[in-house]
Amino acid sequence: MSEATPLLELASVRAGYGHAEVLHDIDLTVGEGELVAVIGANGAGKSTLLKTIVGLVPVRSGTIAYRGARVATPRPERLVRKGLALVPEGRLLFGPMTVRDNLELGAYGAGRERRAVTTRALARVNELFPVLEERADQPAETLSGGEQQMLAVGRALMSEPRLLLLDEPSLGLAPLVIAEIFSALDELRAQGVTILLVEQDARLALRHADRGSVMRTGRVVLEGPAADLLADESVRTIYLGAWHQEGS
Amino acid sequence: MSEFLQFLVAGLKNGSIYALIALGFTIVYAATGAINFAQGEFFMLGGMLCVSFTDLGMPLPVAAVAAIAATAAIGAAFELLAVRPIAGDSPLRIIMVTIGGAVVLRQLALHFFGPDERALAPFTEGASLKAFGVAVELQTLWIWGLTALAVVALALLYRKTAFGRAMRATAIRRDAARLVGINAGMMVTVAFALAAGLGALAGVAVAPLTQTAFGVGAAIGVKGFAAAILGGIGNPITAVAGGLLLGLLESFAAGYFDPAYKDGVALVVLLVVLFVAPQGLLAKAGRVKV
Ligand SMILES: Nc1ncnc2c1ncn2[C@@H]1O[C@H](COP(=O)(O)OP(=O)(O)OP(=O)(O)O)[C@@H](O)[C@H]1O
Ligand SMILES: [Mg+2]
Repeated sequence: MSEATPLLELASVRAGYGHAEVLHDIDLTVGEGELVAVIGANGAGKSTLLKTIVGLVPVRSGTIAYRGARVATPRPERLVRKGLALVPEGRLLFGPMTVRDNLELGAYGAGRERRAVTTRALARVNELFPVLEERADQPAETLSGGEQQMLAVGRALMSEPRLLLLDEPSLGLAPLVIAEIFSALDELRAQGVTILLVEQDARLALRHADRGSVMRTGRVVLEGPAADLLADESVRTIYLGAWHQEGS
Repeated sequence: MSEFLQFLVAGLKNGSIYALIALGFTIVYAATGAINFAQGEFFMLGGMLCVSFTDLGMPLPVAAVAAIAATAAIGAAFELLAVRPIAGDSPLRIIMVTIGGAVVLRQLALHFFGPDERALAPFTEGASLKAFGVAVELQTLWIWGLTALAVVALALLYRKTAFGRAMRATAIRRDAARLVGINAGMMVTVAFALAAGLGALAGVAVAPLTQTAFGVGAAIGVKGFAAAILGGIGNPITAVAGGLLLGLLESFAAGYFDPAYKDGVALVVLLVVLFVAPQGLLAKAGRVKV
C-alpha cells in the first residue's frame, strides 16, 4: 500500500433506495493512477455503489473522501467539476442530440474555460475513438451499441476527469468492440487517469485492473491484487455463477 | 375573398397569443414532465402589471419590459417556493400544486389590482393598415412581430447557446445532465421564468385590444393548453403551429358559422386530440424534442 492519501476512499458507507438498504458497510480505496475493478453478479449493488459515490443515491452513513477531503453531500454536478466523472449504466446519452452536442455537453462543467477545454478534450476523444468524429452530426440514438458506449466514455472524458468511474462498459457488446473500449481504458491509464471500473465480466475486468473487489449482496466480500483474484477459486465460482445467471 | 382574409388575420392574431401561451406550457412540460396550470395567470400578470406600471408614470415600453421581467421573476419564485419542494415527485403532484398556485396568484391579483377591467394604450397610435379589402390594426402587427421575435430568440437560445443546450439536455435526461455538470434544478427554475415571461409578453401585447382584468388567466390558459396539446405537447415548434392553428379554427368557426362557437373550439380540439392520440400527446418527457 502506498503512503500517499488515496484519490478516493469510502469508509463504512451505507446507501439504498426508499426503505431498502442496498449497500452495507462498504470500504473501498482507489489510489492515484490505479485501475480498480469491482466485480459481482446481477443485483450485487455495483451500480448503486457508483451512483452513491457521485451522489445520485444519497449516503446514509459512513464517509466518502475524494482527493483527501471528505465529501459531505456528494452531488454529481459539483464532483464533475472536481474531476470525477461517471460513465453510467445504460449510457444515458442525450439521444435526440448529435454526437457533437453530446460531447460538447460533456465539458459543460468547465464553465468559463469551456471553450479551451472543449477543443483540447475533443481532440483527445477523437484520437481515442475516431468513429465519433465521423458520426459527429448524427443523433446519438442512431449510433450502434458500441459507438454509443464510446460516446458515453467520450462524453465523460470531455470533463478531463482525474478519476473515471465506469459502469459495465462491456455490457451487450461484441468482443471486438469490447477490446477497442478496453484498449482505450489502458491508453487513458497510461495518460494518468485513475479508473474505477464496475463489471460483471470478472475475467475481463481483472485482466485490466491493478486491484479488485468482489461484491455480493451489497458487501465487499473479497479484495486484493487483480492477479490474485483471477487465480482465486471462490472468485471463479462467483464468476461462473454470474455466467450461469446471464445464460439462463 | 376579403371576408376570408379578415378571418385569417383575426385567426393569426389570436393564434399568435395562443402560441406564446402554448410555448410556456411546452417549456415547463419539457423540464418537469408536468402541465403548469398557472400558465394563464402569467398572461394576466403581464397585462395587469404593465397597466399598473404605466399608472405609476412609466413610459409604455419601459412598463412593458418591466412587466415581463417582473412576471418572469414571479415565475421563478413560483418554481422555487411551490414546485421545488416537491421536485422528484410525480408530475401529478406538480400539476396539483400549479392549480393551487393559479388560484393564489389570481387572488393576489384581485387584492392588489382590484376587480376592474383595465385598458392599455396601443403601442403605436394610428389608423389600421388596409390592403386587399382587409383592415389590420397596428397592434396586430405588434403582436405578430413580438411573437416572431420571441420564437426566434427562443430557437437561438435552445439551438445556439451552451445554456440552451443544457436546458434541452436536462429535459431529455436529468441524471445525465447532472453528470456533465449541469445544475438541473436551476434549469427548471429558468424554464418557469421563461414560460412566465412568454405568458406576460402575450398579456402585454394583447391588452390594448381586449382590456385585461385579474380573472382573464383561466380562459387563456385553456386556449394555450389546447394549442400545446394540438401541437403534441413537448415540442416548441409544433406548439407554435398548434397555437396558430387553434386561432384559425376559432376564427373560421366564428366567422362562417356562429360567433358563439369561438370559445368552444378549444374544448372540442382538446377532446378530439385526447380521444384520437392520447398516448402520443402525454408522452414522457424523455421523448421530448426541444
Ligand atoms: N432505483 C432503485 N430503486 C429501488 N431499488 C433499486 C433501484 N436500483 C437498484 N435497486 C436495487 O438495488 C440492488 C442493487 O442494484 P444494482 O443496480 O446496484 O446492482 P448491480 O450490481 O449494478 O446489478 P447489475 O449487474 O444487474 O447492473 C438490487 O436489488 C436492485 O433491485
Ligand atoms: Mg448495474
